[in-house]
Amino acid sequence: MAQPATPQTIDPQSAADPVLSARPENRVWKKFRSHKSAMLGGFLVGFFILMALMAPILPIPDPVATDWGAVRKAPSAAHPFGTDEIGRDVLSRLVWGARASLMAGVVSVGIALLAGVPLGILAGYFGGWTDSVISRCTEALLAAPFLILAIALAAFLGPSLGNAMIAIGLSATPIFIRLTRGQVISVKAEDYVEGAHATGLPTHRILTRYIFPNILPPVLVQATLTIATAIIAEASLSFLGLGQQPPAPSWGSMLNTAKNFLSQAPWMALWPGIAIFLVVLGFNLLGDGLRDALDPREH
Amino acid sequence: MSDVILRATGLRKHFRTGGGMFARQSTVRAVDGVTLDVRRGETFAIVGESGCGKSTLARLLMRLLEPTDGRIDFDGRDISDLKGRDLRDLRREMQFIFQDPFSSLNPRMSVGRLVAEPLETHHPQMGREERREEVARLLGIVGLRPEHADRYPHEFSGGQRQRIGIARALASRPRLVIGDEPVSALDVSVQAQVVNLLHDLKAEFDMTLVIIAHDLAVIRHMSDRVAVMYLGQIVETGTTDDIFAHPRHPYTMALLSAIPEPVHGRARTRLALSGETPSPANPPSGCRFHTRCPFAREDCAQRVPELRPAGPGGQHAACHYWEEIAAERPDAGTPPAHERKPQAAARFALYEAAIDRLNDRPETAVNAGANDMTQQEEDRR
Repeated sequence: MAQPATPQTIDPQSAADPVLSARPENRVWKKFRSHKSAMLGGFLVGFFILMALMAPILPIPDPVATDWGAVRKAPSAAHPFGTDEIGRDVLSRLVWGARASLMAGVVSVGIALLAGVPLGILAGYFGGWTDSVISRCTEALLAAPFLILAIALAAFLGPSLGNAMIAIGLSATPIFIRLTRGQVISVKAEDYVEGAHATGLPTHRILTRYIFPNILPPVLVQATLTIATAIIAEASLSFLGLGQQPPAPSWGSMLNTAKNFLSQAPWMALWPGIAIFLVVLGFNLLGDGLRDALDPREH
Repeated sequence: MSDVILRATGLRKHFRTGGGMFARQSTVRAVDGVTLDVRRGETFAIVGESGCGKSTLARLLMRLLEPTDGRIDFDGRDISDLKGRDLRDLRREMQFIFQDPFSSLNPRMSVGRLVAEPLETHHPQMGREERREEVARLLGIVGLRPEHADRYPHEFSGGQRQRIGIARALASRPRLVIGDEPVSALDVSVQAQVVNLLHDLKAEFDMTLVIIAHDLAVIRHMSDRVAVMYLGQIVETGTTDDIFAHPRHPYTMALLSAIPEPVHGRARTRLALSGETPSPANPPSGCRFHTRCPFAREDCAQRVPELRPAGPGGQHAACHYWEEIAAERPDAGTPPAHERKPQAAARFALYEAAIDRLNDRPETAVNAGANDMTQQEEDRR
């Protein structure tokens, strides 16, 4: 084959397509914006977060103030969502309860990420006996159902919202260990990681600059979806009396008391139920949308 | 010998595969006893078909893989057992260019950071501003522009990405660069640009180049010496001119006869090989090439050939019968690159002038012209 006579100059300027010249983050955002259900999820989540943040300044009664003159009243102008068995405003408890639920979801997933991602990276990157020890422990934890494990841990730690978060976080950790480990193993085999070795980068740099950013997208998606699971778990623990302690409001504990009055005061159960449903739906839609937006195959 | 910059002695790499509960474990002898010298300042090419172990060899030479056996000396120092800090320091001297420019750059780092990274690692005393200037200079050297530093790899074409890879490899000022098929993933026109770039940089930076390739045309253009690999072993080595003019090993002959020649009306007997490459997990006995060699004799299956002198210019071939085969096939080589006729030369000059004018135009414009040429070449086959 004759070498085509080519000049010693270069690929002229930018071959970059103007449409593609956006940073990866921008393209993800653009794609996310066009995803209708993801936007709905984002809206729901945003709504509840806003509600939780604004609880102190909203014109609602004190969530723990009792009123013996208004016990188990049906929704009315004074109490739009009704009152509970000791005359507390259900709307107010719902708004304040969002704080417990969202906190529980975010903090427990935060705990799971902090514990799971580093362990997963260790197991996936170094392999060998490190991997064997971490993976066997992970599998042992995964053998127990998520909620049962959370209940057992919460019971062991003692009933409080903080302990419930720790229990839920630890129960969710194995999911993140396993996900991270798998991602690290696949990213580790990429040419650019071998390139990092060839460049002579120290291990900590390879981990922080090459492995971590490239495993992040699926971990973020999983985190969003796990927040939904964690919110349900917190509600379950509170329902069982292992989470938020009375009189502080939480959706789970509101359901717990409401179950005794289902026929007389169904609104006591209805509102927290709807709230849990909507926030969980929101996080799930958000997670699905993120997964689609971050999917590199469709870039 | 001080003119040898890189020496491999009896290098072996065996991979174990399988070995599950029910599967029998087998050993793939990817590289099986390779000895070679790379001289300071030369371009040394390693050629062979896919699966012959040339990429594994490149990674062994780079110490990206641990050799099963054998020793590697860089600049007179045994580097086979370097670890940790020492190994990282070695990377300053030895750099690697990858085959696939699409997968070998971290997609989450900007070009500027990619090129700055070796500087941060190997020249930590360099200030931020100084480093930025050096990155801009490196980008300029490989034919990119300083403002490209803020972009991400996915915004570039294959040829441009390979230039980024080259800039990154050059950043630490290595004395030896090993390229694992650095142009085989690129368009033909861009291949030539990158080959020429490497050639110029080699002179400018006073480097030694080791190029792995399966394309002999690329090799001929840029290398001083060649080693031909078959099934994990070197079967022939010598200067590029010697190998192309009078190949001694039947495998080299077959490789050469597979190069299409852009000369009208020139008939040449092709030496076609039959059969598949044997598995390196279970290589043939004796001479590994005997199962496909058209000249194989009976004892080729028993006796293992060693590399032995096969010409005055330091050419060596691992074949028991190269003398007889050479007598039988005097036309096995390829003629030196032919002279252009005056009309053709004039046309090429016009083409080059036109390309110069296109400097600031997008790469696709250049590609379109080159693709036409490739098409014409294929028509002639």
